[in-house]
Amino acid sequence: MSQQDFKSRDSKLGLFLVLPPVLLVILVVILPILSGVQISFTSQRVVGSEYEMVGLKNYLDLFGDKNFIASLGRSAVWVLANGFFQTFVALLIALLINQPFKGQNFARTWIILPWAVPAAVTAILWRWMFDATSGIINTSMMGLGMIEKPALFLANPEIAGISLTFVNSWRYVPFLTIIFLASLASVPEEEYEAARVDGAGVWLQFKSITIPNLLPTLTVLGLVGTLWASNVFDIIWMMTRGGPGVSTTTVPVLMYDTAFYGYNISKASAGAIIFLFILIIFALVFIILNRRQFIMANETFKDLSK
Amino acid sequence: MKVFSMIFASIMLTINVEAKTIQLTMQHMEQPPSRVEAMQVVVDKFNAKYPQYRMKQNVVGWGEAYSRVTAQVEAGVGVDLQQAIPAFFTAIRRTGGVQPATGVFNKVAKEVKFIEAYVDQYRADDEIWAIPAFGMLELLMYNKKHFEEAGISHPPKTTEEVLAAAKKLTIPSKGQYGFALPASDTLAGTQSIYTWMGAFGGKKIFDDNCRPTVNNPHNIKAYTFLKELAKYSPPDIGAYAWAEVEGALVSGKASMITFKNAFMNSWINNSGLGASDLGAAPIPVPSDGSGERFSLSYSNAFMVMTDDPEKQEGLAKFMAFWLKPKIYGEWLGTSEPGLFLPVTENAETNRIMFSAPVLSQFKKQHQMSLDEAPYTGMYGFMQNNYCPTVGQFEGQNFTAKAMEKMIIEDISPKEAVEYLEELMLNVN
Repeated sequence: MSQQDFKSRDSKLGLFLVLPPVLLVILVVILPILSGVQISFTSQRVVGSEYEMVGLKNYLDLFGDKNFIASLGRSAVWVLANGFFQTFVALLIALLINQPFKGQNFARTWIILPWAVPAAVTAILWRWMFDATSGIINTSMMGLGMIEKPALFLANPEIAGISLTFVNSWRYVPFLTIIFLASLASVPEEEYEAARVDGAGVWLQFKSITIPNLLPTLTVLGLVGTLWASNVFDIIWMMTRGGPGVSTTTVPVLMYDTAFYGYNISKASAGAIIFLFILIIFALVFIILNRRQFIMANETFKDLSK
Repeated sequence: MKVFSMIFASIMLTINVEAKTIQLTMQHMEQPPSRVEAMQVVVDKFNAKYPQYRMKQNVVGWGEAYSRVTAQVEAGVGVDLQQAIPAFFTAIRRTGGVQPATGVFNKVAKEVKFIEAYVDQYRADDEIWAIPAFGMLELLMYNKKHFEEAGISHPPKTTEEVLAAAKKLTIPSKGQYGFALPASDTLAGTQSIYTWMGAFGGKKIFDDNCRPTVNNPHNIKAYTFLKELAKYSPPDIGAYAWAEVEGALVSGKASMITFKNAFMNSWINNSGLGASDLGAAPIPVPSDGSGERFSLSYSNAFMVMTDDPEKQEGLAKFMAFWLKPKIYGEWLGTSEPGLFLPVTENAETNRIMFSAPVLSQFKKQHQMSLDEAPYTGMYGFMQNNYCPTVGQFEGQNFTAKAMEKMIIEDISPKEAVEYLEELMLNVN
């Protein structure tokens, strides 16, 4: 059998193996998106009801809708706040856990626990802890004399977003920490030894060795984390339903409310398509700007999987 | 050969019986285990009495009901009988999946006498669109112990008395507040706030042409009252939904709430108080006579989703069976004692209902619900025909949004009511 025959057989096998997941993606991702696009050009109020084609009306309405524009802004703030806070805390914890200490294995294993807690349980747990009069946080803070009046973690529009960011980060930080720990494991110890021999302090080692080595991972997480955070719906809906007022109404929350409580599935679909489009553009620009880091990240993950 | 013939005959007989069995599915949103269990008792008894039918219950949460039912209709795999509340019915009707239920209703009405107010919420276009199954209404529920301790001798009858009592009962150092008002963008907020709007004389939210009419002096007075009442509520009422409101009264954090009579089990198990310590009173009205005796009431009914005459016959039999005094009385008494009110006029039903273990302890409170039933109504169903935008009014909690805005942004009650009307006008 010639080399060409082998190649041809390999490519056929490859196609055969890749076909099921491709079909699955078409079925559960592409088709629903196309269906959403189609609905967005109609006047459909509820699924299955009669409708007319209205062209770009829903899109034009949304661009003139101050609630939608404001929700885009809130989504951007939500993504940035979650991104920075989670990255900072996860990196800090990963660096601490990466140091040898008694119980290191225990910490590495159990840190993942909040990630495993279902969103509904997380929401109930934190709603109770945030309660103004009987929640453990307020009663503790008041008991210690730190505050005179209870803090309205979820009922004050100025801090509800911060509270939600904290809860969402509580869920995601463990996962990010594990990713950082895996990346830190791939940093050659010799580099640190050489730096120490040259008299480099902890900060210089961190700045010149750790950060450059983590950069590919940070870049990948920057993209994936942005997409994740943009689409967070469960925690927000279960804890504040977008309130108080509209202070935590991000785009997914607004679209859900519009579709299923405002009975306007076509307008909600148009909003979702606009949001999807924004995220795709963001992802493309991000990948192009950080092409080198993505290639390096790929190499790092290949090394880790060996 | 004889044995073979007998086997063959019995197989044919089985096939014949199977062929005659008509499968029926009812879908409801009463998810708590006790409600599902009580419904299963009814279903099992029905299946035993009518072997030609096989009824099955399907349970979905209210949160997913809309998306689930519309998807079922769209996919053509809908159920035969679907629970509804009025606004939900208006939304689902748009899918074209709801059948006129007049025929089924008339068959059931031959067997039981319905309370007309519960049927009226489903009359439209000269048809009846659902068969009432149980009612719900809001009362002023209060902690009698708190009232005694504060030296308040009777429950408030006027809204002025509500404010005076709430002020007296608010002792933040004890973690006690006069009232737990759900000022959140939730259905709990919508129902509670609308109940007060009605008590202040603003129950009609549309005119006969379905144009919003909420911007009126009655509602400005109602929102003025609510803004004042919020001062005597726990500080985080902006995050309060049903569970928090109920929990506030049961735990002693709040002395009064407007609520459905839904938490008798919880009161007995968690309040540390007895049944006689739970007070129930009609919704107070303004002393100047500008309001009216009123409470929000829901007629929970079942829409007929199948157009198959054989199945519709089975559904009529099922509803008539369920609403017969013995079965219905037992179901009302055990499913969620106190929450579900009879939609039929029958003394025997009430006697059986009141003899249930929990309800027998809360006779006074539950009787209050029955007494108030004639003075109730439902937003959007008080004009010639129902207004389709009532779905958005309820679904997007417009009254609660206006309340929330008033509290958070400290706008005036007049501005809050203007905002409420603006929200209703902006529904397109």
